[in-house]
Amino acid sequence: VEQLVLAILNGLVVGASLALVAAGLALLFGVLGILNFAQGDLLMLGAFMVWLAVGHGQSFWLGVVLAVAVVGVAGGLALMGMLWPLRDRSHALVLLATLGLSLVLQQLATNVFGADAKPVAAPIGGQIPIGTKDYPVYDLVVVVAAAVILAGGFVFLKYVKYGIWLRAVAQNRDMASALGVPVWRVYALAFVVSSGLAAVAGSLLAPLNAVYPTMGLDVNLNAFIVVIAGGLGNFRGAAVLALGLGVVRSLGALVIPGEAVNLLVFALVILLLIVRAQRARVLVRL
Amino acid sequence: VIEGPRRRLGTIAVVLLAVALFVVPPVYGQFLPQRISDYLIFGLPALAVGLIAGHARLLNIGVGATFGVSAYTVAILTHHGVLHPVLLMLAALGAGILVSGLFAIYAVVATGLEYLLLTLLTTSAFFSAPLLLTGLTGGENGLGVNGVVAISFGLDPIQGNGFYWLLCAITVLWCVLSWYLLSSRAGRAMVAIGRNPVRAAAMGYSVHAYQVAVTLYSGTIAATGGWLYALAHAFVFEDLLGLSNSVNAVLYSLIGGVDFVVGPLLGTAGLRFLGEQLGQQTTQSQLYIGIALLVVVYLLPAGVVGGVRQLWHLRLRFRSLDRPDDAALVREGEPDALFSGALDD
Repeated sequence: VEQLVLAILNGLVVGASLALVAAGLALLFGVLGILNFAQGDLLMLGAFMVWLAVGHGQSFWLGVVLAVAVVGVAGGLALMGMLWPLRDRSHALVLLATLGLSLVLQQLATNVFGADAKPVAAPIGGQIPIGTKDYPVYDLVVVVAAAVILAGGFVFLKYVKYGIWLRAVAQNRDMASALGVPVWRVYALAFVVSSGLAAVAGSLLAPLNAVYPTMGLDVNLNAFIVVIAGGLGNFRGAAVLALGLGVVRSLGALVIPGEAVNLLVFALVILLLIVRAQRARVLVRL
Repeated sequence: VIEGPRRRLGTIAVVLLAVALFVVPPVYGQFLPQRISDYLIFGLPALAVGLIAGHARLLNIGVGATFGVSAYTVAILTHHGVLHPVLLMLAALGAGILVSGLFAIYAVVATGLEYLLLTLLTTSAFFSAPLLLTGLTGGENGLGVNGVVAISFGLDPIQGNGFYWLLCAITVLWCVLSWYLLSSRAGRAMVAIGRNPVRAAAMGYSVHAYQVAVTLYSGTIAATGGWLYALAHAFVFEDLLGLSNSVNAVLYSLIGGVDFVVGPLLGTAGLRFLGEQLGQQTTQSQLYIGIALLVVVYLLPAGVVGGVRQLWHLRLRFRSLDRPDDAALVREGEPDALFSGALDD
């Protein structure tokens, strides 16, 4: 039982950070139809912001705020400037552009910070006993923080004016524009919120994993899986599935090898996507 | 008035390129045949992506799975005592075609982004397989290929030019066959289906049959690349199956340009050469490749060959401003905007 509880907690911690990245990815896809390959790199930049802040004697939490401000706002707007000209172009071009950006960001981070993994101390050092083992309090804080942020995001999308506008633009951009929704501002908001979520995820993850330039790569693939399985553009679905994926991976690894769990997850997501695509496809019935 | 000379000029250029491919590297020596061999081997999956993305409008970013499974088949079979070159070739191609059968199913059940994501997930899934089957595949350590000269029809991939010429012949054969197929009635029907599948279906074309056929055909090309890779390098490893190899093939084909059969091959040669040169002179190759990618996306969205073609058309348009009939001909011959959103639907 103790092992089971620990596996669930570990899964929740991994899933919580994944949920933040995937929710940002889903939001951007929902509004703009953009799949951002550089989302993991925004997470990496967020983690480096925290490492810089802590390294300069500042508080960890100030680092988180800086990460959101710099990576979220400045990075989001820069990303928008880059992808805005491609908004009505093929997915292929957008994918290539974000892939190019990802390569550039990783190399620049290596140049500036170095390729080695850098540890960041957790801001909360306590531990709580679970059976015969102690579990770090900070890990649980990450889960709670992610849950609060995602719940906030849900409320924002559901009840706040700009959130409603975001959903309107995602559903029908032309109609929303005709009804007076400032589409350009809504796009900017989607970019900033999406980048901000990645930055928060990176900064919260920094004490759990070391910080290094390619840390976003693994998270990226998992986030893609979650966004696909959750329903492309579905903020809530992505968040819930990310938590689920984290727990399933962690529990599955207790029974079968990790690679088999990976393969199983891929197979399930492929089947899910096939079923969804089949439902949406008209041509098949011609 | 304009199409005839332009077509002849293009054909002459391609023939000269093919002749130079056979003659120049062996004459120049200094490991040039080995380097070009690598360009050709990785050019084959890029050609496969070019055909399926450029003409059938199905953006496949999982071609690495086909390439890698084919290469692994050769390595695994040689470890089990199979050293007959023809048998190995057929097995490698067969395994690759089986994988592309999966992509064919995706082509039938999904389009646009769903298709792209399915291929992405498939190549990621295949990437995990060697670690699960370590006894068979060597796991993270990779797997050597036994009896390299015997399984390469007696041609040594390291010494002499025989293996290089075999590679050239196979590549040219695939290019000519692809060009012929694209020029044929079936190829034109495929292009029409890629541009507007609903209209093509309404005209009586079997959309799914064409999509399956082009997927299996391009899968065979990618599998040929995997088979040749195993022979040339005598070693296979998990990265061959994964996303990075698949994405590289997409990059090569898009950078070269998918409107022409030779575009993906030129893109492969150009980008790999750039990577090698930068790798020798600087540690910043990833940065430069990223920047090159952005330049292509924003400045040359139809690829380098497509860009050259557009410049050619622009030149003809200026020349034919006083001749409206010629201007109309030029407009007819202009390349379709591959990246104008047709891949989205």
